[in-house]
Amino acid sequence: MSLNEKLFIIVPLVSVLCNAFLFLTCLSAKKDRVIYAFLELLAVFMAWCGGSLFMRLELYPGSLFWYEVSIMGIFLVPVFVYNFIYRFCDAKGSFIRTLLFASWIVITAMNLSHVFIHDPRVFEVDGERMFAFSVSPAIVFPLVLAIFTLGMAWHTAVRGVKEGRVSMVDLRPLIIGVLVMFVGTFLDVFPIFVSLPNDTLVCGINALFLYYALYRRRLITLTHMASNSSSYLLSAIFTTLILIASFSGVDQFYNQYLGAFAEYKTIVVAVGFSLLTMAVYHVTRRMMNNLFTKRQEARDSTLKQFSISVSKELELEPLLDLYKNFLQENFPTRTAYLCVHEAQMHRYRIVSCTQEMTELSFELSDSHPLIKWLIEQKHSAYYNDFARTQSFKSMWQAEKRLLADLNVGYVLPLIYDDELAGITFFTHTEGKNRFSPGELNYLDSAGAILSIALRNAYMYTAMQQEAREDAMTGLYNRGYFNECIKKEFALARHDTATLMMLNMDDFRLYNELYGIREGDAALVQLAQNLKAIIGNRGVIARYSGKEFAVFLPFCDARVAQELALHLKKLPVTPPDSNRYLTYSIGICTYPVCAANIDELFTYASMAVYSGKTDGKNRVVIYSPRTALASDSTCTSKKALAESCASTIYALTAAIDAKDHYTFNHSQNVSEYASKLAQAIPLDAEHVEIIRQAGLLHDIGKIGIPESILSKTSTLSNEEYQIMKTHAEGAMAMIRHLPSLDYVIPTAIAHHERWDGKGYPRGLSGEVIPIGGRCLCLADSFDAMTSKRSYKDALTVEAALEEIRRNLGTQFDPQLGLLFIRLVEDGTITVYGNAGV
Amino acid sequence: MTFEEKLKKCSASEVWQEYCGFLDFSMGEYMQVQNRLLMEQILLLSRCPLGKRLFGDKPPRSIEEFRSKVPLTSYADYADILLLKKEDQLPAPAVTWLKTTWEGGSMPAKWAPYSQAMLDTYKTNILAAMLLSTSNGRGDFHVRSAARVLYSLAPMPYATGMFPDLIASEMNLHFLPPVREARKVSFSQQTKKGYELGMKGGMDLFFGMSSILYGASRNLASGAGGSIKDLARRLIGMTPQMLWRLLSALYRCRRDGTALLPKDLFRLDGFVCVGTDSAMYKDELEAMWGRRPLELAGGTEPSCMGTETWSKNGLCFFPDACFYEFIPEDEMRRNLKDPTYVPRTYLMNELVANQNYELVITVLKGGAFARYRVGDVYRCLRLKNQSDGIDFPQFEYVDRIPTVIDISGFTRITEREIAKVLDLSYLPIQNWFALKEYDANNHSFLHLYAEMKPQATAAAASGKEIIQEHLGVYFRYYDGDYKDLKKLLGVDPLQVTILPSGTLEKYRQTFGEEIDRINPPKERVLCLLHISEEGAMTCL
Repeated sequence: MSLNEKLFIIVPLVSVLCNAFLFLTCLSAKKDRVIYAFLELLAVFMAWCGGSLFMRLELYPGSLFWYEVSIMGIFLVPVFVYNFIYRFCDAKGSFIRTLLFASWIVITAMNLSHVFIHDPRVFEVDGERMFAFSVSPAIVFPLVLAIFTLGMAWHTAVRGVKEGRVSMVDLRPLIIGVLVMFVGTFLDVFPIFVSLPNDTLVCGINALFLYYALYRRRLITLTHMASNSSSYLLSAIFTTLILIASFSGVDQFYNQYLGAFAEYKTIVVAVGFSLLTMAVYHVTRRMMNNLFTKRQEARDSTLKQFSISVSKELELEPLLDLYKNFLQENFPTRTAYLCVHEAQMHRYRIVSCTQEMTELSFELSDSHPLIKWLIEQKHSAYYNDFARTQSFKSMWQAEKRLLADLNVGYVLPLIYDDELAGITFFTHTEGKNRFSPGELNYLDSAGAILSIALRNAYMYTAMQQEAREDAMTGLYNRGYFNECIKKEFALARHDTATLMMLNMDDFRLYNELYGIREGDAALVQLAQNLKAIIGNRGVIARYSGKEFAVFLPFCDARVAQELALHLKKLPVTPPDSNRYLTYSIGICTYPVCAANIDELFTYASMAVYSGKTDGKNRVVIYSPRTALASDSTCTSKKALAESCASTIYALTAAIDAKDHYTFNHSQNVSEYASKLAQAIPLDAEHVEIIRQAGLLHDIGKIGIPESILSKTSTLSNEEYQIMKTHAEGAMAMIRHLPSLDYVIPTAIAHHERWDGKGYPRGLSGEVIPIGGRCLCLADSFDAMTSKRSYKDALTVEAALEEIRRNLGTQFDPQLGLLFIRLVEDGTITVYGNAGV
Repeated sequence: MTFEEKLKKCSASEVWQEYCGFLDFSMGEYMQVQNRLLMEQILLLSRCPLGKRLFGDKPPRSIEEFRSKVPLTSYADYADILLLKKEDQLPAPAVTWLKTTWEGGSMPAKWAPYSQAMLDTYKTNILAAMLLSTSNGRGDFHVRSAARVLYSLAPMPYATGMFPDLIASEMNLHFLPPVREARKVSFSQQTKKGYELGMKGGMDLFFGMSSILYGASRNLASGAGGSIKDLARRLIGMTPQMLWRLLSALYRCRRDGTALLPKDLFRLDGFVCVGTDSAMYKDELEAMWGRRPLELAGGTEPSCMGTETWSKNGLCFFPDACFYEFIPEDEMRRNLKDPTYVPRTYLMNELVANQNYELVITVLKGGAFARYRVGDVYRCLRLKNQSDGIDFPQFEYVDRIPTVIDISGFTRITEREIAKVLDLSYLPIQNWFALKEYDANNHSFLHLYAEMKPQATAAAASGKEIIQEHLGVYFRYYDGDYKDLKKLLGVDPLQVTILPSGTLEKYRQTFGEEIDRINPPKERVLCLLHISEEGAMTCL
């Protein structure tokens, strides 16, 4: 066989195999009209090349049959090329297409009747088999139709590009492929090329170009190359070649060494080659996988891992870290900026970058044209595509500069349910401006996964926020504030911390005068003022209805006072209105004035009340030793007590009238407790509060049935429970006296025990207000030294002994000892047993 | 990517969308772009001394505040900064300064700064206009590289002169004559040379002032005949294609006995005209060129502001060139009578169809002018154009504001200028008024109605021709643009009518007020003429 003959067999064989391989590859792809058109075209190519090959090989059923197949393939190529371009360009209107198909069916049918080309004449020259064709003049008809068909294909492509249905870049491989095919076919006209199988060669090359065009359009992927069918084909080809090449050797070997088993030769050879085929298939499959799908599988695995990781994460920052790591690992040469949506601020802000040490001062407002465009687009895009839209027209120059400075090349929106949860900006990279189609798919998938996770994270953050914040003012609520200050206090434990309590003055009156809405507006305004003045210096909360709290770690009273005075300068009522609303501020500092958080609250609240009672609209710093420092020359608590004396007298008289045994008890308790408070020493204001609390501590007994109060025998459990309610009853009554409500914390704590077994709140140790501890001692001492309906009076010594015995259980040990000393040295004058 | 590269690499729909996509805007989208860019402009102005002068201490925080706080302005409000080109006072650095006539001002010219962003927008918008000029429908355009462009617009530093420079970086166009050559010759020579070159090698695009186009087209039509020698001279240097066109056109014209028209020689892809009298010439230009010209709206201060679409039936204003406000005609007239009256302005989405409006612009992207009264009156043709699928108002240029007489888009004559010319001329004119009129060829001209001093009629030469000639000399002396007008269009833009002595006084007695000095209403002029001929009663 001459080289030329071999070429005419090898080249069509390679071309047929190439087409068959692509055909099988496409069979495993998700099929649509374009893929079907491509499969049809490949089938025609195979008919062309396969027919030519088998004609040369004179395979069964003979050259003539294969000649007809080959010629039919050639005749049908133009119309199927047109059909493929028609589908590829998503062209409209099927009249021309139908007409062309009908024409080519007629032409092909006529050709089968040898109207255009006569049967090939086979002859041998110098032992070389040659095929000669002769054509009739009628061949001009199919030629003209072919030119017209290809002209229509070109027209369809141009229209597709013009109307934007397909881009020139996508179409380019297709055009090159078809051009190569027709140049190759045309070369056959020249005598020098006649002896070469140009047509079948370019037919295979063209198929590869078309395959690439589909790959660019992401209609098929390289992983399809590694499909089972293509692996089967390859292994079948390999095994067949091995069988052809080795059959005579194997036959010889079998006859020589296994001649005794000649009757099994067929079975042995068949089984042997079957096993070989299986082995070759597995090796081929593995190789194909390594070649085409390993990278894809690795990506799928990474994506899966990423998906699992992000779906577990609800916090935003760790989620973004996961995404950043993902990008750094998978796109190491790209710089990406991660932008998240801050709904409350109506902006998208860059929070992270895959390159460390990069400035992140960049944000886009919700109304930014790029944001709107991305939401409309719903998928990733090149920034240049955006720069050519009308939305770009409304961009500010500064906004354009910002994105230009960032060198944005590609934008990946993270969209879930039509909401843009975030954006990833990829910068231009020299020489690698474009992502490959595979990379784009990969990015889009990662983006889709992240967008869901981001949405969840936002919802989680929002819920957390809701749980932490006061809905009206946006400040922390009481619960979260208490949590926060525990942490902050732990940090500032060895330093200074200040608590500032703010309470609106006459807020109820303001609400009644101007309506609740105006009252709310004032609260919101005060919250905004607080945010503006305090900023990040401390934790701010709406502590209760009209009360705000500010915890300032590492901050002393003077700084807090300055802040408070600055705050006071900002109005809370609408400007230019004649409305007047003030608030009082109490300040207490750790460790100078308070030993723990609870004391901070107690004393700061007392300072607030002090400010309120001293004329309101005050800033008062709590001080234990000196009189409360105030920004005003206020009247003392004593003066207040004097003004409220008639009320207090009326109330104590009411108790005395009901329970004769407790006559003067309130007076005594008040006296003992205030003496003790002075000796601690507490400041004068605090002493005055304790004195008043002493007078009012049993006021709740008004609500206790007289039968229980004056019962001479031991109280039943039920009666005791009723009796215990007098402490809370006192609170319920005093709260209706707004000018005296500051005594409540002290008054209701007189039955609390140091060991926590007291009532009503079961407080223990230093958590019990110090005034309450004083009252507890005074109350017990007076009760013991007074005669009651159910007992006689104890002696002073016995009473003191009882107190001594209960130090650390019922009584504060230090205060108890102090009280004993005060009684013993006569500082406290005992009025016991004075009851009638 | 340059415009030319886009034409090659992108699909037609992509190119169309990029440049002409604003035509798809809904009214809301249009206003969104306007509002957003105005907020940018407010920010830019608030940072510069010029803005501080306009805004005071507190810059406006919203568009409503901007419109209520910033007064309507005229060039005089900017003159001390712009005439001295004080760049440090401007909202953005000026890349170039453009010049135009200052009608009614004490200085001969106005200067307007252009920032880089303004130039970029100008370029994009002029390319959009070019696409539209070659289009026959939405998205259907035909612009090709290396097209031959006959360019007959005023050179730099006039606004139209920027076009070749800006376009050069985007697209390869063959200007006729080449830009460098054109700059060395006068405007009239440039046009003439361009025509000659067009005749030799053909032309694809035509950009020009309507009045010039009209004049040149008529010359072509009237100059078609001529001797064999002329014909032979013309044939030398022609491309075979043009030669074939010319010969076949001459044959057809001889055969049919018709005049040679430009459409017989040229197949224009695009035809763009600018100038205040464009509407007057468009029908005839279409008849002569076989293609309806696309009209552009703009000027030195607003840059390229609006364009017609493929249907050539109404101007669309570009949303990113200026922020537009409109003063209704009755408000404008009230303000002209009582300058202390502040007229109300309306936005693009608040207009009424078929109403005339004076245009007020705020130049965007770092421009200097805010709430600036350009002095142009536009008619709102329709609020939306359903046949073209346009969802925002379209306009037609009406004229300058009534106190200005614009002649063929070349010069703007005001009461002050006429008074100055009369003063210079020492002619014994006692009283006068002037208005813009059109001749049989649709050329606009200034018609001056003058009443001589009674004692001068006998003493001085007071014939109409003499006075017209005399005043023409002084107009040419005083107004450079007026001189160009005569040279380029070959027409006398001044007509004088001598009124009998006492006519204006009789008019005043009849109507109880003086007649407006500039552009009085037509019916009042007719009344006055009746008064002069027959007496006061005929008009009442």
